[in-house]
Amino acid sequence: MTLDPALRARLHRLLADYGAKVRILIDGHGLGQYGIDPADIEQEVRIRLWKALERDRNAAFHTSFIQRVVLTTVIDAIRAANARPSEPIPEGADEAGTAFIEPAAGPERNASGMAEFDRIVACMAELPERRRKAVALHLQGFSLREIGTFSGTSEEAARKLLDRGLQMLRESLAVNGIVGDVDD
Amino acid sequence: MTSSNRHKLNIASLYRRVTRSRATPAALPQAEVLLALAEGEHSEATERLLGEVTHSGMHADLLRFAQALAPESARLGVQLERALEVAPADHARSQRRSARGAMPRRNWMRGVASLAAGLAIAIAVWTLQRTHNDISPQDNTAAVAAASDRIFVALDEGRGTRQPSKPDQIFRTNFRGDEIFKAQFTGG
Repeated sequence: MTLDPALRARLHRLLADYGAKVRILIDGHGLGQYGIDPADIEQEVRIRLWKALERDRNAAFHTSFIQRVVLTTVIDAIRAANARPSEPIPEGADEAGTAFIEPAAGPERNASGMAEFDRIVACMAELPERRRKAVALHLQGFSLREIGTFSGTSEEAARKLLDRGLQMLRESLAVNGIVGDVDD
Repeated sequence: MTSSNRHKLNIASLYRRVTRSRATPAALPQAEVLLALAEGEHSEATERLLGEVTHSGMHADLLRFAQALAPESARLGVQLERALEVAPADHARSQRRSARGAMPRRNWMRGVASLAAGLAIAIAVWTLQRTHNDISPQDNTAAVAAASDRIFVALDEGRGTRQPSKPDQIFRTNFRGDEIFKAQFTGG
């Protein structure tokens, strides 16, 4: 593709802006905890999109294509990071909420936290599948609308599934001696 | 220690932390399926991935990230389209500009071409005329030969000079009567 210098500069600027936003999103969603460098992803995304523009400028307009380029880049980077020999855990990992072991917790509490998690999972396993999925997605932080979208139901149906699922989970946790808040 | 005495767990927070620390790299999702699930599509693959999302913090983060990418990606798509749409328009405009610039030159060239054509025609006519003049005597001879192409040419040659053909003398209007009965007769 032959581009005049002004257009080339404009396209580079657009991709640079987008790359910066991707970097912010990577940081914001805590993807750095999986061993990837947001700056590397930003650079790689820009390169891949530029190559796509050179190859077929029309394809590069589609939202899904741009998203796919970014997601593929991120997933490839996570795979590469996990293939590398293990590195020391960076400082601040706890701040990002990635480490299971809470900094303020003692060994006894940490051990019990892990044990509690296993018991929570065991309680969830007793739920009917659709309710279990709704509860798990809720615990992962997804909204009712998102739960509905992913499950192929309406938001209202998702709310009913979640309410019933959480009610069952609370009862099950109480029976198992776990007192906890299932909401943030 | 009874459960009521314990620190009240934030179950959601605990769940998220543990599911992230247990992320298994071998089970990384495919970008296509992740995107399909983010857009609310349903298939076996998306159902499988949704199952992963429920117990893998990494998958959940990637799904959320895929959702968050959509608005910015759509914006970039529009911006790229606009940038590349404007480019051909600029190109066409510059072509029109250069065409306008080339117009006086084109007129000049048209004048030269007309002059050349006129000159060529003049030369052709002159050459034709010259050629015609060169071959005229032969043409005259040919015309005479054609005129004398008669059956009894030998008779003409016998008369010495060839007379042009005349109408029959018998019916001439200036027929003259016998001299004997001329009005000059005196009655004698």
